[in-house]
Order: sequence, then C-alpha cells, then structure tokens
Amino acid sequence: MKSTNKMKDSYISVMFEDENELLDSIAAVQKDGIKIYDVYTPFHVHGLGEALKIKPTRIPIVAFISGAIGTISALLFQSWISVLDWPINIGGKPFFALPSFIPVTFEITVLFSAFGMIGAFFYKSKLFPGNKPKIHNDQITNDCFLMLLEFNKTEMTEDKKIALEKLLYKHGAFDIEFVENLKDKE
Amino acid sequence: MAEQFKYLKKHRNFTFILLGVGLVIMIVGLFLNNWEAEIFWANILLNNYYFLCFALGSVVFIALHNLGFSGWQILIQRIPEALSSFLPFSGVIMLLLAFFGVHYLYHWSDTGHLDAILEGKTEYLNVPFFIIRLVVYYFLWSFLAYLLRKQSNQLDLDPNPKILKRSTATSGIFMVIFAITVSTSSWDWLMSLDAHWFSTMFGWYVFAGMFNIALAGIILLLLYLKKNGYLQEANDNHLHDLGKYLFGFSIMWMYLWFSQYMLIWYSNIPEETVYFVTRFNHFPILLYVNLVLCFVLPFLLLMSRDAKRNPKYMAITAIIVLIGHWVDFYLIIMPGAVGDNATIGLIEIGTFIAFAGIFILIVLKYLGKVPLTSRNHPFLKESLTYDT
Repeated sequence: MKSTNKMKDSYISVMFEDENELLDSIAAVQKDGIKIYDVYTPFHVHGLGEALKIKPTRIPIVAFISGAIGTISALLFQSWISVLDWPINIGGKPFFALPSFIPVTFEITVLFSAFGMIGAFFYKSKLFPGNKPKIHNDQITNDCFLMLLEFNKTEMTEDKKIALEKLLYKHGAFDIEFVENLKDKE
Repeated sequence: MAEQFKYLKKHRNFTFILLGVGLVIMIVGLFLNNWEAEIFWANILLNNYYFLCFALGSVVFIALHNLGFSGWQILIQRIPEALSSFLPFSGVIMLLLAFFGVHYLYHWSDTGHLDAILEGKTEYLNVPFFIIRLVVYYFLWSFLAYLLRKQSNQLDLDPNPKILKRSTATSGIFMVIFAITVSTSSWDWLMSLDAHWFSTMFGWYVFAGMFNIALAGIILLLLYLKKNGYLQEANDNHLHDLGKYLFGFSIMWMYLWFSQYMLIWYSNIPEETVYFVTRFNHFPILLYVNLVLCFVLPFLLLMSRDAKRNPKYMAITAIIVLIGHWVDFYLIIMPGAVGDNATIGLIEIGTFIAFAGIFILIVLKYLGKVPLTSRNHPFLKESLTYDT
C-alpha cells in the first residue's frame, strides 16, 4: 500500500549524554532541514527553547487573568457578605471597610493565580491522572537526553540514513534507533 | 586586561556644578525662609538618609549574593561596591547633625520639657547614647563594607578561594549586624522624630524602601555604564534579574506599608493613629503620589518579561521608583521634623541636588579606581553565560 499523504510517518530516536551535544546536534540537524518532532530532557536545559524555536510561553497571561478574577471575586464576595448579606458593626467601622478586605483579597489573588497557572500547565502538557506518560526510553528520566526526529519513509533513502547517522555520531550521540510506531501515537 | 572606568574631567565638573547649583538654591531657599534651622537640618537628614540608602542597600545586595554563593551578579558587582563607598561621608554628615542639629529635630533631646511618656523613654532616647549608637552603626557598616570591597579587590590579584570564604564570612557578620542596626537606626533617626509614636513594623518598612532605592541606583548606574561603552558583557539577562528584584521589592514595600497602616487603622488607638492622621490630613496629595510611584507604577510597568529586558523601560521605572522613595522618606521625616506646613520648595530641591553631586562624585571616583569586573572571580563564567 502506498502512502500518499504528506504526514511524516517514521521517527528516529537519538540519545545523548550531555546537554551541549544535544544543543549542537539540534543546530546541525536543523541545518540539514530535518524536522525535530520533540526533545526530552531530565531537567531544564538553557537555550533549548530558543534552539527549537518554541513560541514564548503564555503562562503569564493565564496568571494575570486568573489573578484578576481572584481579586475581583474576593472583593465582591467580601463586600456582599459584609454590606448586603450579614452586616455586622465591628468596632464602629463602616460596613464597607476596604482595608480589612485587602489581606483576604491578596491571598485569594495569589491562590487563583497559582491554581490557574497549574491548571493551564497540566492541560497544555497533558499531565492528568490516567494519562499514559510519553516515555520513549527510560533513560530520559535519569541522565540522558533524547531527540526525536521525524521524516517521511519514502523520502529517506539508505544514503541519506547513513549520512544522518554519521552526522549524529559526530555530534556525540551514543544511540540511534529507527522507530516505526511511537507510544504516544498509538 | 580588565576593563577600567575612566573618571574624566567632565564627570568631576558635572558633579561640582551639581554641588554648586544645589548649594546656591539651598542658600536662596534658606534666605527666603528666614534661615530656619529646623528646615535646614530636616533636609540634611532627609537627603543624607536617602543617599545612605543607596550605599547601605548596596552592601546588603553584595552580602546577600555572597552568602547565597550566587554567580550571576559578578559582572556587575563593582557597581554596588562603588555605591557603598558613600558610607563614611554619610557618617560624617550624620555626626555633624547629631552634634549641632539634634535639638532642632528631636524634641526628646530637650530634657527640660519632657512629658511622662517621653520621660519613660529617656533611657534609650538621650543625646549621648544617640551619638554612641550612631558612631557604632557607621563604624560597623563602613568597616564591613570596606572589608567586602577589599576582599573583592584582592580576588583581582590573587584568585584564592580562601578570600572568597573570608568574604562569605564577612557577609554573614554584616547581615546579622545589619538586621539589628537597620531597625534600631531607623527608630533613632526617623521614628523618634514623632517621639510619642511607635510602630514595630517601622524598621522593615524602612528597609524595604532602602533596598528598592539601592536596586534602582544599581540599575541606573549599570545602564549609564553600558550606554557609555562599558560592561558590554552584562546583557538583558542581568537586567532582567535586577528588574525582578525591583518588582518584588516594590510589592514588598507596599506589603509592609499596608501592614503597618492596616494594624493602626484597625485598632484605632489615638497614640498610634496620630502618624497617619497627620499625613492624610496635611499631605494627602504626596501620600497618594507616594503610593502610585512606589507601588502602582513599578508593579504595572515591570510586570511583563519584555519590560524587564528593555533598558529604556527599566531606566524610566528606576527613576520613578527613586522619586517615589524620596517622597516616601519626605513623608516619614518632614511632618515630624518641620510640622504640618512643610512644603517642597527651594531648600528641598537644592539640598537634594547638592547631595546628589557629592554622591555621584564619590561613587564615580571609586569606580575609576578599580577594574570594572572581577576577572579572577571563580564564579565569573557563571555570570558571563547567564541565562534567565
């Protein structure tokens, strides 16, 4: 059966032991015009986001909006309680005593902001209970770095394969594996 | 070869012009105010404390990073070191004030006419002990700041890790001493202006303002140096971190300001509320301007990442914060020292300009004497490759 669609259907997993080797080979592979499907690292690598040209995170916007919702709802709720629903005279203070609302408002703002960020992060990175983790190789949870390249099977000739392998070994890869089926593609 | 800041004639002339213009404006202002000694000494105290904040906050900055073994600030560490060289001069001015101006500013020093409350405070608030404390503070601060500067300069010649260890120890000693003295010195010089009033949050509140001033000063001096072709290796990442500090401590300042205000507002005891009653009734505009300049504007302006990495934006925010905290210290000092009719006039502006002249002179002169970065510092590489 001929594959007619333009979708990339094959993957190469490349393992590294050092983050600088990883960054070097990303640059080299990108120069050759091969698409990087994803990179998996055991910890945050400086400069990786820029190298992969990942769009800047939008977490700050989420934080601001959820924080603002927290501020407004905390102020409204406290005002509603102490002015409309159950007014109590405390030490002769007015019912709408703004300074006394501020600490609670502050805390609720922080709480909403944090929950909003965590929720958005979990949603975007698909980290929720019952979700199968995308671990292509156990070593990426330990001390190794994994780069997944994607390509079209029909376009990848033997010559190209050998040249690519040579290039990756030159930049420090210690294990190269051709993968047909990815766990998270199942 | 390490980079060197060239202290030129134009710098010296500029500071002398500032000093001269400031003194002239101040003297004209004093003449128009019938040579009132109260206003004169209050302004000396205000501006001396204000510029002391740059120096002392900078020592805290250095000590903080030494203690945390942090490396990102090594490229720019000579800037806070230069700012801290103002300490001894500030001490001399403060000592003059203690000898000649104390009776004009602090009415607890007038031992003949004290009421029962102030009688009870005489064990702490009396002139000899005031001067002793002042000398001790300045001796400890200046000496430890001098040691930190010396150890940093020693590293230039001899990259010995032992010096780094000694520097960490000095920082630790400074931090412990500073934590106590920043509170007690703010009680002595600022809180005792309103001798009947007291607040246990006062020392922290003053410290938050002090650290903000020092950070804004470091940012401005860094941007000035970068604009003139120095320290090109210090990039957006270093600026970004300073911006985060300024953002965080603006919130911290507001937090402490509000905590102090809310406790007093809630308990509503006359002897405590008098402080805010005076300021709300007689200085309402300045009070709100202060809150906007010190919190609202830096909070909104520095919120985004791009803003913290933009030199122009940061320079404007730093200047806003500096003006805001000058107003803050004005509101702390003037109502107590001069009275409800205090204004911002020629004397205030003149004294500020004169002090700014001397301050810039001392700082730039120190900066010209040492290499701009510590090339042998073991953490230098961390600073060079820093990425946020």
